Amino acid sequence: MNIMTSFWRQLIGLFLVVILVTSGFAQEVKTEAAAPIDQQVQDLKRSVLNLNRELFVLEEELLFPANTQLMLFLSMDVGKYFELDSVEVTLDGKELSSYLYTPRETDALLRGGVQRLYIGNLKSGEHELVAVFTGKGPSGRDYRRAASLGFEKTLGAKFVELKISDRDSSQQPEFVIREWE
Amino acid sequence: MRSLARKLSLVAAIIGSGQLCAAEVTPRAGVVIEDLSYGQVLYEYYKQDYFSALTTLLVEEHFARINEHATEAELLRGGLLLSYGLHSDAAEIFELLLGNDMAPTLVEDGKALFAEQELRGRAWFFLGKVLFQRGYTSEAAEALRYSGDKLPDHQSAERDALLSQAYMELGELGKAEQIVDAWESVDDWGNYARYNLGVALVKANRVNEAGVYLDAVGTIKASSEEMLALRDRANLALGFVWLRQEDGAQAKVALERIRLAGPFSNSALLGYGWAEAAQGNYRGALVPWLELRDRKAIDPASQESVLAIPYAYRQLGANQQAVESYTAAIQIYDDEIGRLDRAIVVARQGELMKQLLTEDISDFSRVSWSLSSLPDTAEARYLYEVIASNRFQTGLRNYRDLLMLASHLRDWQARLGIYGDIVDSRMAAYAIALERLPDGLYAEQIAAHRSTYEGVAETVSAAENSYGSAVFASAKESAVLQRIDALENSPEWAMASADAQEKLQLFKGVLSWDMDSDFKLQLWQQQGQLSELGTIIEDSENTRARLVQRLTATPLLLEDYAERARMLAPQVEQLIDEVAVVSSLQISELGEVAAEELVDQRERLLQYRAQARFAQAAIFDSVSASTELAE
Repeated sequence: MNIMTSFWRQLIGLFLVVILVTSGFAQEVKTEAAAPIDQQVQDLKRSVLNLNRELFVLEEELLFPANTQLMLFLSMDVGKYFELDSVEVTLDGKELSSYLYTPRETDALLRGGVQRLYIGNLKSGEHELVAVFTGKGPSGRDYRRAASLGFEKTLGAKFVELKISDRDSSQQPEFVIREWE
Repeated sequence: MRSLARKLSLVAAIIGSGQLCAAEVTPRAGVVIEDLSYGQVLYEYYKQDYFSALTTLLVEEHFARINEHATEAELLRGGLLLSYGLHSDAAEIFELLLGNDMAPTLVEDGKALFAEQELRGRAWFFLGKVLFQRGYTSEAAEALRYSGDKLPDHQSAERDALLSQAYMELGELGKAEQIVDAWESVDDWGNYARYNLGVALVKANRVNEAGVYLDAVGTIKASSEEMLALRDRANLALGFVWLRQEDGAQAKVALERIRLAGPFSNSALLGYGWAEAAQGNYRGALVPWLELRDRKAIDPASQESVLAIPYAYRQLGANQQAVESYTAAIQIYDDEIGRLDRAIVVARQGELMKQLLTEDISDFSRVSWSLSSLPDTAEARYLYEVIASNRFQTGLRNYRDLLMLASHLRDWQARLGIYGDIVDSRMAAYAIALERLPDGLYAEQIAAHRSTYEGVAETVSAAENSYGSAVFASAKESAVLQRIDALENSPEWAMASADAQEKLQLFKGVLSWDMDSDFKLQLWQQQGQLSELGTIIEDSENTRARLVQRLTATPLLLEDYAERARMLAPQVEQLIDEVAVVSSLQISELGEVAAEELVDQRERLLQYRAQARFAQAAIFDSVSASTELAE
């Protein structure tokens, strides 16, 4: 009986170790240098990140010089009265951008993220931008609204923000297009 | 690898939710966006695309488009680097943010000071995390302590969980207990901290105290799968702790709380059998164990049940069945060990990994690997357990990151070629435009206009100074003036009558009066026109100057682009090669990790087999002794 009791304890002890390993808490706590392969992966990540920055900078300077640059951004504030599905943007009557949102993207917008919707070039002068927002409005009904902005493009980059916010007084969403200095 | 495993064990909550990266760094909530570019970084971050978030941040900082959130952005950059596994780079940023003065600010009045303290607190917090992950536990605990009381709630909870874990690792269980006992809110971090403390106390053989914490987690009201799994895990640990104490009744209470359909149901069945056995109910013990025996043989609980069954038979006095079951168990273990040996060889060859990994690389954002594409072979079934292990998942993250890097680099390779073409096209277009331009770029024409303008301006100025109204005389008036002049200079005029001469003087006077009365208007009109003309000429001169400047700068700019593209292209090529090499190494490493995990499984089976042989021999000895005694 003593032998079996010992046997029983051994088995339980063995399995307890298995449980703790499975739970991830049976590892010894010791400082150990990262494996060489981890270091190599880290070095590569660092190199690619830096290279990526250089490449994006070159791309922007080459394709979208500051003097003619136009950037469109989209942001959302709260989103209680509007659930964004898509946005279509036209500039001087021509389609500029059309975007369909995934739940992850709308979530990112609701949490305070700002999406760069478009980057391109625009000649100096007067222009008109029209954005059409589609989604679910108050009470979950289909909702489609437009907003427009007339603006002058001068020399230098132009930043324009399409902003969707809640207007509590009317319990309706509000769509505003504004220029940034 | 051990440190990585430790890191993973620390944040088991994160692993469970599949959001290891997401929980690594969190920007301050409710930030009013003052720079669109900073919002753009947050957008990528919230989408959990950390590589894009980091790249965007670096690019926007390069163009100096993040000014209002500069410090916040640096903190985020450090957090993103930490999340992306670049610990040393992250640590540098946090240390830089904290400056040389590593002591916390103690002044607490004023909004700005509050914001600064919050920021410093978060920097300390992130630095503490980096240090912890790099194995500097003592320093990490110090940094975490400095993070103060201005952290947002979710980070404060995470800080407390990390700090308590650090104390556990430093063997200062009392301090860890103080933190856990003072936990006021009921949150996931608190549950993990209690669970960790419970396990640490078990290891320290303070079983009764451990039971309190494990029981607390084992009775939480959970709704998420993550917390349900943690609750099951706590009950399982608690159940086996009581079993080790030979307290079957208490063990059953804990084990009965485990979900039948959960991932720990097999282990619960095994434990339940032991609990019955501990209470002397071996028939009752056989029920779950026999059920387990028929389940998959690679599950540790099922493997142990094979050994527990003959033990129960032996206790029930059924020696014959016990011997047969031990024989069957030994055969099962032999078979499994043989299959494991083959699986180890296949894993080390790396072919299995390649087959597994290349089938499911489309979605880089997945934290865990899909098991659906496992090859249907005898060796592959062992991989289920291997793939779920922390070590394998860590290597897998590396491999997935490498695949993503390779994808980015290939994309850039193609784009750089296009950009090279764009630069060439622009250079060609520039050369053609240059040929079409006239010599001197209208310099003579513009100079001539300038000269004419200045001549007219001089005349007008002279007229103004001399009050010379004749300058602005109309054609008719000029003709009349000429006729009068001719008349007065003629020889006959001296003989003209006094009346005629008086009339002419009168006429001259009237004409002069008319011209003088229009002079100011004329002068104003002329000066206005002159000013407009001056502006036009100046515009022409400026336009020409800009054109000259662009003509000078454009080739330099295009050459600069071309040069940068030329320099970057081989770097892209080189990194593509390096990523391929390291990816291959990582595959081998994964194979080795898999093999090591399989070796661990094999070791466990060897122990079970030894136990079975020993127990079988003990029965034979006992029977033999009884027979001798009878004889």
